[in-house]
Amino acid sequence: MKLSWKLFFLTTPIFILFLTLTGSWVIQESFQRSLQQEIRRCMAENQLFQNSYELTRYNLSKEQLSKVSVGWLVESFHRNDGQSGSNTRVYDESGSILYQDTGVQVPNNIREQLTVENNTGYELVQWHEKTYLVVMSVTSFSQYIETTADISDLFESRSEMYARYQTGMLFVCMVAGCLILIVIFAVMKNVQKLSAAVRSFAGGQYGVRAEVNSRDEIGALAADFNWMADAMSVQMGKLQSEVERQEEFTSAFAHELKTPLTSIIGYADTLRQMELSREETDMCANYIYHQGKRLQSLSYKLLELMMVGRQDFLQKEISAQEFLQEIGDTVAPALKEKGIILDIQAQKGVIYGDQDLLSTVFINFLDNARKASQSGQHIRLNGYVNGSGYIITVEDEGRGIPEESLNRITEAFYMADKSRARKEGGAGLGLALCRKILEVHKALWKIESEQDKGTRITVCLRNSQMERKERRERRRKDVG
Amino acid sequence: MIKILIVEDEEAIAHLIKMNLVKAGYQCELAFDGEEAADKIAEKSYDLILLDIMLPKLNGYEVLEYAKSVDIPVIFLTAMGETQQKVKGLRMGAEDYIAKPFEIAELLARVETVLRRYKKTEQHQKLYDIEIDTQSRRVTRDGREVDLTTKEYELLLLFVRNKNRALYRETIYESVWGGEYSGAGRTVDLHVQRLKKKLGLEEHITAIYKVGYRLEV
Repeated sequence: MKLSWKLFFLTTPIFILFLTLTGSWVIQESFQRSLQQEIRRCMAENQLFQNSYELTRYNLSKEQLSKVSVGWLVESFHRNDGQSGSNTRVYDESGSILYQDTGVQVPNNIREQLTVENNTGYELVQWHEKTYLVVMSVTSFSQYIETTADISDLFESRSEMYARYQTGMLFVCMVAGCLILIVIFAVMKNVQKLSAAVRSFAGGQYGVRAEVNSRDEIGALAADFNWMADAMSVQMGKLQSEVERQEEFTSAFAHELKTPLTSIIGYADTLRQMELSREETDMCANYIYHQGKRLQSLSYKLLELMMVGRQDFLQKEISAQEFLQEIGDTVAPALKEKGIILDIQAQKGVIYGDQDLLSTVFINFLDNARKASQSGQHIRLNGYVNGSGYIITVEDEGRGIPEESLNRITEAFYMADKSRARKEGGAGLGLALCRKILEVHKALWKIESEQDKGTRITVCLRNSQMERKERRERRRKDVG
Repeated sequence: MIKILIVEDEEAIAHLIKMNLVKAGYQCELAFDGEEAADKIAEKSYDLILLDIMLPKLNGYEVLEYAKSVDIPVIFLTAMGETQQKVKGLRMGAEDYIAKPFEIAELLARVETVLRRYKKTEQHQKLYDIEIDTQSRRVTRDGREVDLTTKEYELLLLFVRNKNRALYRETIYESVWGGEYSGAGRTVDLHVQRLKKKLGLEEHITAIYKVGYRLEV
């Protein structure tokens, strides 16, 4: 059963029960009050009659009393006060009627209850489908005065009120039931909206949000859901872009792998199948050798790239001056061979990081500069202290990087000029490796380039002071 | 003579394809990027274009569109497993594709199939006294029809297409029967023996020890 119906069937009977109880109580109370009033009135009437009767009797002497009948007595005091009874009966001690002015005689048992102290009593009697109130009192000379009143009207009016009340209640209950239903459904509509939103979200429509504007708990629940959905969307976006990057890398890697493989397999296949001339055989062998070398370089570079991500590398203070000089010494032979002049200017300073990894970065940069430069051009390697960091720049006067390639150049396997990169034995992984190493060193860096004018790479490495300061700040943030 | 344009930015692969197609008797030209390819297509007429998809300057799809506009059949080269590239290339009207890395026999077979479809190859191939009508798949020797099974016919075509080329048993098996060659079984040898006998090629198809067979012309 739906929650809305459950709520409906739970609230409506309670409502009806309370309404019935309250109504019955009110009617009963008002009836009791009227009845008591009637009883008091009848008692007073009886009392009045008794008083008048006794008074009249006392005024007469014994002889006079023996001559007159009770009827005459009653009529005489009725005559005096100008009234006439219509509901009174007088009995003697034995129960025979001495006087009556009413035709209605209702059987009752009041007489037995009457005592000297309690000389008046009443009884409600059902007789001939009517309800009578009978009051009886005993006089001082042991006669009984009985007054009878028909109070059927009182009971009838009570039944009538009950009936009227029932009709009214039926109507009220119907209206109230409808109202309850409307309210419940209004509330449930929000629940349904929320449920629909959750279902479409689960079904893959991650843009869906619950549009519930109420301020109740359901509104709060909807807001919570929306908040969760937002958080999940952000997370999924992150995962998505991560997967995309992963896919791009895989497909680029597959391409890079298949190209040399195709050559190697193809030339080897040709060699084994055909009788070739000496030059043709040499050519095949040469291609196989170079493509094999290419595969080797690709696998080494890739291995390095993967290691940087995993390795727990050793960070320590390095003297910047010595570091730059060492790099210069490493690349000098290759530069000399091509007739390129290397200028090194290094201020005294300290950098913080893994010396081997950082060497890889700058040797890569210098190697790229060498590939872009021609004989007679300069390559400048500068280092200087800047604030709390140390800045190293690598600058060449070579052919530069085309503008459209500039922001893709650090992607794995991206080559601005594929055929030239191939000839120089590049796998398109150098700058991707540099980026990764600089990332783990939390270094800031940028590449500026102008075609045919040269390229400048600026790297800002932190020294140990910065590292310590940052750690302190992080700790403060954690505490705060 | 049939002229084929090879568009491939990888020099090694371009020369590999050229070398083998020239040996198989085609005339070949090379283009190393999309623009060069488009220029060459505009200048001269080719019977077939072998086209790499990932090209500098103009990409393979653009060259493909251009080649289709002048009605030259195109086989494109793609790295294996890149289904999207294959589907897109074939949708755009390429005749076939070759997945890298490929085997030379496969390359030659695909080239020949496409050329035959465009009726650019000779319908009749001659080998000594044997004539092959590739259109009706009929083989006659001295004017008399020789009854060959499907596999034997395909085997014959493979030898004719790869004259003077040592065909490894695995290559023969994979291109005639399809599927992976297990190394065991004598299916290939039995069929070659039967073919030699039926066509009197005992002298010309020579067995190469531990390798396979070669049709010497």
